[in-house]
Amino acid sequence: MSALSFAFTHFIRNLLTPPGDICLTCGGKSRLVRNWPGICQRCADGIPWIDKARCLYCGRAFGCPDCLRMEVRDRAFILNRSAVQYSDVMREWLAQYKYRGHERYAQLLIRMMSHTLVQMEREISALHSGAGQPASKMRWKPDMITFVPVSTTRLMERGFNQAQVLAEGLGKIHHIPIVPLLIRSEHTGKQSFKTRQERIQSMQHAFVIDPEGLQFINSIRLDWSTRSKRSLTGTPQSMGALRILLIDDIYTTGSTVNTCSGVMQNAVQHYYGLKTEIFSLTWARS
Amino acid sequence: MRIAVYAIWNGEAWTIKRSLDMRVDVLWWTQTADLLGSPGRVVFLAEAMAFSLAVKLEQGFGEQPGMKSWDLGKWNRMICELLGDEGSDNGKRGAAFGGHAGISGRRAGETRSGFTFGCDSSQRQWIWDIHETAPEAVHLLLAEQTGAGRMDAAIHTANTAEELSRQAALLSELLQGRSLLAAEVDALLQESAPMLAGAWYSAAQLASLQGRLALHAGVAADARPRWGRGPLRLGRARHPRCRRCGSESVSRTACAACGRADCAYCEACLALGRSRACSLLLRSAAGGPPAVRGAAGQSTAAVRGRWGLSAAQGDAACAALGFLAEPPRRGSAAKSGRAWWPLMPRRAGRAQPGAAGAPSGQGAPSAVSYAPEETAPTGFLLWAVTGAGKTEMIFPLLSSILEQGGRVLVATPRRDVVLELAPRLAKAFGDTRIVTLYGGSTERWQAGELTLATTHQLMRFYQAFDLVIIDELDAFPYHNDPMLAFAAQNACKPDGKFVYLSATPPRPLQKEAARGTLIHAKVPVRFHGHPLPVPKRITLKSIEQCLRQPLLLKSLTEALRQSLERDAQVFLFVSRIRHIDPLVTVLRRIFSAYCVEGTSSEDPLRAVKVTSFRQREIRLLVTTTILERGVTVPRSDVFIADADSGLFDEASLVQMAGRAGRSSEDPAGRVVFASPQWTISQKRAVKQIMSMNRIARKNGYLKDS
Repeated sequence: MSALSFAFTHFIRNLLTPPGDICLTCGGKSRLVRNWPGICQRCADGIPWIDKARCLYCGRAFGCPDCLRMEVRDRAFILNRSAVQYSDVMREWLAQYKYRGHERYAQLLIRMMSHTLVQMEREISALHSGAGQPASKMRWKPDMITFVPVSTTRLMERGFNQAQVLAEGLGKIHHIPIVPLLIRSEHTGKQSFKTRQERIQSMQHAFVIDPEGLQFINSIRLDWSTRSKRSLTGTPQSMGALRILLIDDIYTTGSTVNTCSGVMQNAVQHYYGLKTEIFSLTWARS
Repeated sequence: MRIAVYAIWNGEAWTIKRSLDMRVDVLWWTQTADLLGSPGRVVFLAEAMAFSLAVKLEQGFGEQPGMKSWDLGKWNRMICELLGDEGSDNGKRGAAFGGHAGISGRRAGETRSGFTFGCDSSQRQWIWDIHETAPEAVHLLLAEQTGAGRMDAAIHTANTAEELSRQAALLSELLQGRSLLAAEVDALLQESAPMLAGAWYSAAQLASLQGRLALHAGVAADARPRWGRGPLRLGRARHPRCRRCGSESVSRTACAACGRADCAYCEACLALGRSRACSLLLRSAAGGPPAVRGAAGQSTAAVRGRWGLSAAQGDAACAALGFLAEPPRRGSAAKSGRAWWPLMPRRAGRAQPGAAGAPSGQGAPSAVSYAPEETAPTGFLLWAVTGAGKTEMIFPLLSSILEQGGRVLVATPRRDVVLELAPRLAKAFGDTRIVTLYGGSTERWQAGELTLATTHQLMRFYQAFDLVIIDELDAFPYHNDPMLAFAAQNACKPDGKFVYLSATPPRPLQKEAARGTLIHAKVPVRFHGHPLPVPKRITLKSIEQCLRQPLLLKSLTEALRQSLERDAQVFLFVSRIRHIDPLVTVLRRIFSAYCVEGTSSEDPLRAVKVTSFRQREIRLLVTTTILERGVTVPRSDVFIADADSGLFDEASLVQMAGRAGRSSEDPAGRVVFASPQWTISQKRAVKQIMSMNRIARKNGYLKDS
């Protein structure tokens, strides 16, 4: 009899308990937060955001010896910002997404990066408005988003390019066109198994320009020259400079971002005589 | 991945086939041309179709009149109808360059020519009557540049054909009893046949034509016709299922490997590599004659003497041996009203090893077939109390199967048990090859007669074992996890046997055992022959309240002091991790003379603390249910605070109580349940312990103390 009543009360209690879902990242059952898809409050509180970049150049949350080296002076990109520090928990998230292929993480990472992109827009706009123009005219926004490609072999193996998925998600939220400007020309092996020097060297010839993407740049160029809208909003220096936002999952030494930026900058300059300003946004900064 | 698809007239019926290497199929069918009907027709439909679409086509295909005289246009129309939206879906995604999204389609697809199946005939398709000379397209195909996992050489020369059949034989031997994704096959070959690694598609295709290997999709919809679906379930969405772990896969994403925008993947078994709708799952039943069953003749005394078992252990082991000697029963365990465990999976068809080398008109067995009357493994429950010496009891069972050349699997939930058990088994079975599998094991791809694995590793096997022993049936990964039940069921041969070990079987199993519908044997006494300590109850307010008013702890601390003074090691179990630290602080104040520590799953120093608790450096250990199993500390007493908590069910209460009095020097440990109220779980736990003691007394297993 008591067993029966227990079963009954259990059933009633089940009906009455507030609904909970399984948290994507910790697997526990609880109420999920609203602003970050799929995770619980506890996991959301544990995200190591980089709210204010300490190194204005590479977006690191703490002082950055790398950016003091001599060779970084000729970096091809303007700056990098990242959403989070690459802590052990974040490493696990990225591993789940990228290597295990748990693609439900994509939406979460996109939303996190979108949050950082808004911050980035505000920060860069503020920098520009320091020059004296009214802030409303100086609203910084990239003209296009591109992403770091992976090799065909890797793409077939993994089924998706994480940087591309992130870029597409961001483009959709912020209404910015996504243009694939790069092709990975050779299989350089996994970056995560290499030292800093090896990474920089193996990068040299890894990327080439994607001709189809260039056509899109051409169409933007024509668009500008007919409407010359740009001259109304841009400063004299940045007039005609194409703002490209480069997306990747993680910024470690910056060699990937730098090589990609160099290739894009040269190609756009070479084919169309346009100047480019390349900004980089990654999900994590190690 | 993408795969070639063709239709063939086998003399009686049309079938759709998929191929990893079309050249192998062309050769195969030309060699067996006389078995096909006189106008033997091969219709090459697609060079590279998304694997999931190919599977769908194969499942949905039905013969229509007049197919023999169809031209390609008609075939294409039929495919478009069968695949519906999905077939043409790929075409739509290529557009929209420069839009907000939409580049992905172009990117994903362009890597291989002919990427969509679109309903146009611009692709290379052909119809060929096998008895006539081949059209030029076939010659082109045979001379094609290879790559992408296929064999390099021109395949139709005599030497390579021979080489290929050697490779196919090797491959199917290596994969016997396995259920592996393509990436895992690569890893396996890397280790055991390096020359095949990265180029085994041709060999796999030949083996599948020979019927030695089944090539499934990792995730696929159920092909079983859905009769018997009641009106209430009509509206339920039909999600595809993972063929490896049996879970439903709800997630769909764009996939570059097959070019589909909604390629399903399985989230449940990601840890073993991603299984998805377009990934290849290779399966091969182990085959071989079943281990002869003739071990029943041994007398109890002989078994006891050989393995050094106690009377109770010996009786149970003999009962289990008798069960192993029974012939396999027809009908599944599910039909005995035990549908929940082991969850009977919906079986996909299996490759018939017997069909090898005899290319009948059917060629390979059709991918999915259901035999409603097939034999299924039956189970035996060995219900042995905590500290009864379960491991010793499985030795005679293992040896009875191993001696007859059978293969055995011992699955335990925890990795440390695997590591601890391996040397003991190696000692007992010196001349047997023992493979230990766990996450990160180096023996992952080896084959042996005796396999010792953590439960998740079961998913890599398919009908491989004559005997599967599942340790701690009620423990964490198994309990309520249909995925592991599915995997266990798949790992066992259809005429194989299951033996479940448990000290605290789940309630439904207990009831079945009582009713007599489940074959079981009880070991009601510990190896040292003393009765189990029966829990005593003390009334104590909840720990939450006690922490606010430490005076309330008095009744507990009095009992703890008695135990500490009789020089026992004390376990104090609490229900919540957050109670541990404050409780440790309070207890340290009260028992300043003794070392008090706390540990939980979040404690990085857990292993160290447990060791020093064993060495009697720590005298009182406050902990949660993580230490309820597998920890043996001589001369210990057990206290359970908040024993009425919903987190402590009957099984975990019995397990925790089982930590006390395990050594023969101090068989009468104390067990105390401290709680404000007396719950049904506590009552049942006490009842279970007392009934075990009663049975032991009745059977005369107890030593007179």
